[in-house]
Formats: sequence, structure tokens, C-alpha cells
Amino acid sequence: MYRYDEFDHTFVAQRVAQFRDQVARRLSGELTEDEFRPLRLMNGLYLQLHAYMLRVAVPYGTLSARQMRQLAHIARRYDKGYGHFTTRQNIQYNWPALKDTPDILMDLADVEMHALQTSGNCIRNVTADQYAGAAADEIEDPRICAEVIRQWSSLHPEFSFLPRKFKVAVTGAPADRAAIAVHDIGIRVVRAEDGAIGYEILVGGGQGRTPMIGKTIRAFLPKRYLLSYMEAILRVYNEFGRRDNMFKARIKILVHEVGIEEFRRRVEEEWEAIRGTSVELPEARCSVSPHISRRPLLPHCQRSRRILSSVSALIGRSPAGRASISIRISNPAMPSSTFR
Amino acid sequence: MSETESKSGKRTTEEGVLAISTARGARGGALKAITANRLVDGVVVYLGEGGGWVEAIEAARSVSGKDEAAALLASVEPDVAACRIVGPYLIDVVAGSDGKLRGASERERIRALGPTVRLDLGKQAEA
Repeated sequence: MYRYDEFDHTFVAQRVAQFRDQVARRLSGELTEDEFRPLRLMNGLYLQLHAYMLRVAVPYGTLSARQMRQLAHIARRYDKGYGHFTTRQNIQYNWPALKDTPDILMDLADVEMHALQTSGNCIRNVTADQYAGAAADEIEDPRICAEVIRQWSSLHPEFSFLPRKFKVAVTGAPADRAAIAVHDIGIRVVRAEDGAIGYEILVGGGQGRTPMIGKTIRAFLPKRYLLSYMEAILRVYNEFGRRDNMFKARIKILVHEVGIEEFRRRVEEEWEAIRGTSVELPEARCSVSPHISRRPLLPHCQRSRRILSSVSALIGRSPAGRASISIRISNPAMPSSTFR
Repeated sequence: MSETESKSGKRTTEEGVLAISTARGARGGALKAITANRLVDGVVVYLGEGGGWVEAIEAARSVSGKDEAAALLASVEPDVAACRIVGPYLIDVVAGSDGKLRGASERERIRALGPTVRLDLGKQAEA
């Protein structure tokens, strides 16, 4: 897992102090709601149907036990004893009071978490396969790529005011468990015929009122070009994405309207222009972290893998009409078992 | 101001009348009340009979007529300036068979009660 360095700790603490001052100024009347609204949204605080809602990012869905305990503490102390984990690997608190939010953010900062970029027209929390690091079909742990993107996109000055929000997901396996096909940019780790590992890049997927499946803009991108290629996509979107109609502002609309061929041409043109000056990832930094994914396979792990590889799940409907899940475990060493 | 407010559109009332959503300016002839969120904690509140803000829609002050509604809305501006409430707006309300006020639109009924997926939360849980 990524650990905050001294700079990260200082920066997040400064942002909390800044927000504490902004909340105080709002409560005293120094700031109007129109002035305060963009400030609270930059800190992940919405005002919704029933109350305020605070959305906290869980980068690529990875939490330590300490962080999980702190999330529970926040739910008990400041909210109604629960939080809602979202499909995009955030957690939302649905009943926080405005006056408590600076303290909540401070508690989050204590465990290296925050709510920055969980709202607004910026690059949102990067998500990954929920089985990252443990999936049998994984080519490489997607969290390495996701972490690189998280660091690059955090407070990126050029991409903080995009036409609309921008979501990125990464999977390290052929199976799309991270739902990359319905993200603004979807990244799949792939292995070329010569054995080289790189990324397939999809663009223009999305859900909501206009669901679209993302299209492959590049079948194989060498790892070192990840950030420069993403930068090229975002630059094209930033320039040509619609800002006159929020319902047509997502990148999926742009890709659909100009067509994937024309969109690819524009991106490649931009990429050629910036590639020489953009950050190239050193191979060692964008490879699998040895302590995450190259653990020695211990005897009990080998046994578990054999069992896991022969687990099959069936999702269907029972005679009573209720949804049912049947899990069948077959292992030569044990009698077959089915759980419902 | 809720980020979800802009999504409100046409709603069908219980009486089968197609009503325009009340989030921004309601029909002229209907019974009106004023709702907002309390600034400090975001709780849904209504302008009460006594001029204060109440949490129960049943205790809301209601008026009829476009001019009366506009005047009522204008009367809460000092509360906005005093940071008591945020985002006040007019809603259509109807009196039920028991004489109690409730929101005319589905959105306002949900807002008055609490989440439909968690009946143990919100004002519905306190009743």
C-alpha cells in the first residue's frame, strides 16, 4: 500500500486547516452559500436530499485494518453508525453535520485518507479490480498502475476543471471485474505475443442517462508511455469536450460524436507532440511491487489456489422466484460440496 | 442547494394530476409551503406557523395564491442571511384525509420522511 511521505502529511493537514477556516467563515456568514459551495465540493461534501453527504476516496479499493477501523469510528462518532461503500470504491457518509466535517477530515488524515477530488469536474478516485493481487487470471497487479495514476492526477493543475467529471479504472486481468468498459478511460493490463506487458486503453465508456461501452483507442501501450498517453487523451477532451450542456459534456459523448477513428487521430497527434517532454515511467517503478504480488507461494496458499481454481458459482432464480447463488467446490482431496 | 435538485422534473401526484415539480416555482393555485436545509447540519426544515423553522412538514405554514407564496418566500431571506437555512424554495403541499399537510410530489414526500431504502433512518424513524 502507498504510504504518505512527509509532504503528503503536511499537504493534507494544510487542506483540512483551510477547510476548517472555510466552514467557520460559512457558519459565521462571512461566506455565502454560492461562495462556499465550490469549496465544500472540492472537499467531497455535498448537500443532498436529506442531509449533507461526505464522499471519501478509497484509492483502488485498498484499505488497511487501521483505516477501516477509523472509517467505523467516524461513522459512530459523527454519523448514524454506518457508511455506504460505493461501486466506485468510495465510502459515503450520509448524515454528517457541516460543523463536524473538519474534524472528520482530520480523522481521515490521521490514517492517510481524504475526500479530495471525490466531487467536481476533475479526475476522480481511480478504481481497480476488487480481487487485485489475488486473482488467478491476473497478468499483473493493477494497483501499481492505479497508484501511478493517483499520484499523477492528484491536484493536477491542467485537469482540475475539465468539461465534466472523469473516471478511470484499471484491471490486471482479461475479465473486466473493474468495469473498465464503462469508464471514461479504462485500462487493461495485457501481454503481447513477445511476452512484453503493457496496457490496452479504452476510452469513452460510461453509464448514467447515456450508457456507452468504451472503445479501444490503443490495443497495446508500452508501460512507460502510460502518463503521456493519458495526458494526450485528457488534453483532447479538455479542448473539444462540450461545456455548454452538462448532459453532453462527458468524454463518451465526444468520442461518440466524432467517432473513435477521428478521436484516436487527434489523441495520437497530441501524443506525438508531447511525448518527448512528458514524464516517462521508468520500468522499475511501474512494475509489480515484489512485496505485493510476488509473495512466495506457501504450502497453504498452493492448496487454497487449487481449491479456488475449481470453485464454480451459479447465479440463478429459485423456484420461489428469489435470486439464488450456488457455489460448488470440487477438490480431488475432498468430496464435492455445494453451498446455497 | 442540493446537487440532485436539478434532476427534478414532472411528477405524478397521488390524485393523478400531473404536476410540475415544485423545486423551483410551483403552480399558481396550489397550496404552498417553504422548505430549506438547516445550514449547520443539513436537516430538511419547513417554515412553521410561528415564523420559526420546524422539522415536520405537518407543522409547516401553508398559503395559497401566487403573490402570497412569493411574499412568503421573500420573508425568509433574513434567515438565509443569518446562516440559519440554505436554499429555501416553494413546494406544493396537500392536506391528507386526516387534515395533515404533506408534500404533493413524490420527491418532497421522500424528503419529508427519509430514505426509502432505510426506513429506520430519517424522520420516518422518529415518528
